[in-house]
Amino acid sequence: MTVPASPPDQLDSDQEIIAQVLDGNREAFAQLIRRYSDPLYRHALGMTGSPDVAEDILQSSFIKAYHHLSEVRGRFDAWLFRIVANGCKDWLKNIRRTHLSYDEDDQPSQYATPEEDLDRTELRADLDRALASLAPSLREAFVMKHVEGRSYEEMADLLGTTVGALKMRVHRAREALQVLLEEKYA
Amino acid sequence: MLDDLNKRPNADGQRDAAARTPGQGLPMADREVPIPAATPFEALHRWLDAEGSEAEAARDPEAARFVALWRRMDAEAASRRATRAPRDLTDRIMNALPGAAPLTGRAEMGRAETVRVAATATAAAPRLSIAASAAAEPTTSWWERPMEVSPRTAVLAAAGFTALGFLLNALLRTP
Repeated sequence: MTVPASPPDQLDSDQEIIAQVLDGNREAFAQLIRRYSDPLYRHALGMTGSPDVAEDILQSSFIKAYHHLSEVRGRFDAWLFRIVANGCKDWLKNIRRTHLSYDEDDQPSQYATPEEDLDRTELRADLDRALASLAPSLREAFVMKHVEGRSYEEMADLLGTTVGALKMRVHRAREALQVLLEEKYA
Repeated sequence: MLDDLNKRPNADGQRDAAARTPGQGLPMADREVPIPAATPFEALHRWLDAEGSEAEAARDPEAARFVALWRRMDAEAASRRATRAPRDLTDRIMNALPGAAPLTGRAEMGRAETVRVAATATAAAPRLSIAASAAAEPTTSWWERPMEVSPRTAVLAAAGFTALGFLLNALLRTP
């Protein structure tokens, strides 16, 4: 359930690609987009609940990263993650969502029977609604831990906080979700 | 449980000790209050954090009710973990990037600031399209580009407007 942190080779390679882009090789930036778009898209989708908004946040974040590429100090993946995470939080602050859904998600069904598929769709919708009612900090911690499958150490590294504080947020998010979903599912 | 309705500083500018309680004033969800050691869900959290077993989590009757829910949630999370970014996203982002390389030198700080302002405006748009992000590109039409006024241009413009004012004044006074 844990996604490993970026290996050192990849971090070196990030720096090499950044150097190439800064030297004028604009096309090299596509490698960074391909490398990080999947995990960042999952984060944005988990935070916003909307594939369209997640795409927009990713697009604007990569454009911002390109313009500020010369300011990267240390890990590029952590720097880029913070841009996306802030984009998600800004969106949550500015827009009150009344309906959150993965309906536009075009992932094929992995369930054998229509009943299982229906159950899954219902749980998805209920989980989205429950997640939308959490405070952004709890939602962020839950999404990073359970949807992205990151370790507490990696989360602490990316968010610049302590493992203890993040455990507390994840525990609170779980207990809040239990309260919201217990009537139907427990 | 009475609300403190008098949170103004005292005469010496200090707030009451009660008003300085850590976490006061923060939204409820952001307060980092330690969870009591013996919650009924402790074993459940340990299981979900891969630090304990499911059997241990199911031992507490209060927590046992949620074991099945969390199994389903885990399956749902696993399916979400397989979600990938749209295939054409890389191309769309690359098309939206400016043609020039990112700026690096301090000598180009002024130009960088202009690009940054355009990029910020682009990022703030609620629904970013390729056309909107093209505002940051140097190929933008001249009437859409941000206007830059140097001190020399400003002085020349001021002198021109003053001369025009005198001219109009003279024309209007002519009988």
